[in-house]
Amino acid sequence: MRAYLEICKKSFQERMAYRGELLIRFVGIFMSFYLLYMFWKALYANSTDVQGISFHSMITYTIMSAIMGGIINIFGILNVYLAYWMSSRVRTGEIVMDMMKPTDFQLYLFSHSFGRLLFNVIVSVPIFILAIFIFKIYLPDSLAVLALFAVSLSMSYLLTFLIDFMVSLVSFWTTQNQGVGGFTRLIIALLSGAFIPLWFFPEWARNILSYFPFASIYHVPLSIYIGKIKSIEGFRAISLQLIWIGALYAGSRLLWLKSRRKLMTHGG
Amino acid sequence: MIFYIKLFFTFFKLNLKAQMEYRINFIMSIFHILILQLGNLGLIWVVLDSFQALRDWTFGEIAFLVGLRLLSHGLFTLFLPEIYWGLSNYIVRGEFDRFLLKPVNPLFLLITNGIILSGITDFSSGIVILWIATKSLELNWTFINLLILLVVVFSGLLIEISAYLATSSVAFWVTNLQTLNFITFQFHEQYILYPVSIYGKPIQYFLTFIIPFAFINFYPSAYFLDKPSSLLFHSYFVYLTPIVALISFGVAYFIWKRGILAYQSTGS
Repeated sequence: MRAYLEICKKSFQERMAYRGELLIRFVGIFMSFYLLYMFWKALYANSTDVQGISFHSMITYTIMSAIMGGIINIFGILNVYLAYWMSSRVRTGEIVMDMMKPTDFQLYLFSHSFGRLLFNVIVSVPIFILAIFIFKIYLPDSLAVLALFAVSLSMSYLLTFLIDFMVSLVSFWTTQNQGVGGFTRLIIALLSGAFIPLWFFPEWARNILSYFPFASIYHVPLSIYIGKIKSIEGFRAISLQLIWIGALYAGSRLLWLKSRRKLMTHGG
Repeated sequence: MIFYIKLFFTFFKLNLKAQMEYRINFIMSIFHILILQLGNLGLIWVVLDSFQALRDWTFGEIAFLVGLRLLSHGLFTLFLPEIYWGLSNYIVRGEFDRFLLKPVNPLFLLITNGIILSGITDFSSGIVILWIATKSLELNWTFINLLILLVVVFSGLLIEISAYLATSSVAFWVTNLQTLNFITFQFHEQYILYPVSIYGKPIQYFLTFIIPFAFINFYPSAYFLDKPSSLLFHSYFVYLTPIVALISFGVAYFIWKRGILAYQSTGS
């Protein structure tokens, strides 16, 4: 346990070293806030309530989505840092050193990613506060809703981590995986409700999407936050998130065993 | 002149060979860009199904805007990516000297230094999206309009070149310029995907008079689609794209020239 905490601390400190990039991140995120705001404002120019969602709720949804992206995406929308890291380790062979460590490989990477997550959460706090003042996004109705949102957000993070982990294992077969990594991120961005909430999608598309974990990543926590999904329904949505985490965890362990064997047969 | 044309093709062939080294990356990027562009358009279709219009722009009209931008951007990515991806790095790292050592125009040397093959995919998806717009709006392309389209696409290309040449050239004086470059990039990559008229006045001024990205697609679309109600400053602006392109290139080239002088006088 101590070892994992150390890894987590180290990866947090690593991020601190790149504080200089924060300016770009702030500029970038406020430019997209403004864009999102004006985009939805122009859409709502002709109507006040669409699908039971007011302009105010929609802005809260979309800006919270951008903030959430900064937290769980770890490295921007189309850049999967875990995949990038893994493919370069596999290419140089350093991966063997990582695997020889007396820690569980997946947990090792998780602690690493968790350190970055903590850094991102801290960075997001001032962004969130500014967004409340500038774009008038609102806080959830009650503390209970806020707590439910926090739980759901953690699930989203776990899901993203598991998907990234599986994608990064592709490099054991191809050495290059950034194409696959970016592609996965793109699909998530399009189909998870990160930009356009799923309730605007046509019925048939929503039916298909209900067989995939995408909605669990953005749509569920954000709908809980703005109060579109309430109480019992919220718990049901979170249970579904949990089921997806279970399934992806099992899948990732299986894939990891296979990847390791693949490496062994190459005499690593 | 003939010397330059010959040289251009020689360099292009070399760059093409270099790019072909990464065939899998290229094939992945085809899928990635196609799904990115068509997926984003799909999302716009989804919201406009619920909202009818983005202020007074319909789905087909926005598709036109997006397609027009992609045509000139595809050419930029294919032939001139070094202006954006390379220039400021060369200057900051002190590698710019090599462009001054040869008896050829340094700007020519810079742009022939690299290509990005996936520009072809940007360009092709631009054609597909313009075709979707044509179908959706039932446009009739006359011969004259096709000629004007050609002029507009090349003017748009020149505007993009000028914008990135000017911002990257600032690196001759200021070393840390990532943020400035990034702002230009965001405006070009995100903001002009939607009609400029949805933004506040300061942004409209900025995109018309300072970095005239609005002339790449917004004003020409207003011309092709006959949209007087969305005109911002003066109804003549819809005809100005080629003139704006020439002026911006003049300004950008001036900044670049002064930058080179400043670079030489520091005597590195």
